[in-house]
Amino acid sequence: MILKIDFFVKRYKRIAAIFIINSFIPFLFSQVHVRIEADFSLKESFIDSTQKLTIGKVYYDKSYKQIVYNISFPEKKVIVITDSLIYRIKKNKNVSISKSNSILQMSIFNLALNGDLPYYGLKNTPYIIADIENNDNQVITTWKLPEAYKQNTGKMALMQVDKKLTGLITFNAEDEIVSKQFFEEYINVSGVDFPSKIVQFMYVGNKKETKLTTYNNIIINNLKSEDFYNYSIPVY
Amino acid sequence: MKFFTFLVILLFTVFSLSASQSSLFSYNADELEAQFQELNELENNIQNSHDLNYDNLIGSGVCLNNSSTSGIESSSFSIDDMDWGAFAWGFCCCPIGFFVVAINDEKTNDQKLSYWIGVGVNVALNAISTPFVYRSYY
Repeated sequence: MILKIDFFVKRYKRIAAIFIINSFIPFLFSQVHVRIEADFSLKESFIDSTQKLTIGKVYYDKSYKQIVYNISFPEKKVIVITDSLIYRIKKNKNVSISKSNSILQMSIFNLALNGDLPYYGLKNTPYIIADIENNDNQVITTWKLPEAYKQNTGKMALMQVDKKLTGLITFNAEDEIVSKQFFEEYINVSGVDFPSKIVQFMYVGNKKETKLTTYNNIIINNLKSEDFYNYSIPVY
Repeated sequence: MKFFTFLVILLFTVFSLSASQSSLFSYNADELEAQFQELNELENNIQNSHDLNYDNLIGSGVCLNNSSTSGIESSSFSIDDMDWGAFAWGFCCCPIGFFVVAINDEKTNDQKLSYWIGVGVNVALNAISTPFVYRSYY
């Protein structure tokens, strides 16, 4: 038996070598996107007609599992968002903590780095496609949760133009629109498509809140600024 | 005839539903631009002037919500902003600190300022103490 294997190995050594090298080629030449940073500005309009402007820089590294906002306006502070907690740090001393409802895997940064943004990452969730609608170069897909998962969650409608996510509408269980998001002005940085403008409307009763986020100077896989990518929360 | 009527109603319903689904993905861009006109101006002012402080902000006439305005701090440097590590580089070993802090892109403005304060304090203390040291020798 050992002799047979030895014979097989000797005979097909060259083929095996080619096969092994061939299988490693994609890994050698494919670029893995692990971190993203960008200048951002967030303009918000609230139900009570007040407005707020926030300017700063955002950092995200998939391996550290935290989104770090280094805010320069209206006040200098750092906000670190993890899956469970939000840390607000002023002057690297004062730390306030609150609960986080965000899921980092579904953040726009993680979705863009993984190439999951066109379907808003819904392919990796229990959501299933309930309807597809084609209009010229626009594709609208409606996603629903299977009955087994259904609780108070409604459907989601995604619009794609040229295979890029351009719109996302979230409904509640009563089929009322909860929020609308529009992803615009895509730019390609190091092979990552990222929307440099995001408009969001959140509906509260008959009124709506508006958020306009713009991203500039997007950098992928920057090896600098390690202190922000892996931000260490000061001891409080 | 009934079947034909049912078919027409069904087709009309399907078309109207599909039209509404598509029309949901739109918003008034001009309205959005007008809504954030003041904040756009404020953003431009901030980008053009690096020394924007609370007074400038009030002068701009933009109504921000209370949580924002109450938390605004002056952009001037205070002792709380001092980075003591960077200060130590300036005070104890400024030639190496120059490369570690002063021309390091990863360091913040506060850290760089702390370094130069450290250098300044070192120079000032040397200037004061040198005559006494000189006099004690000669």
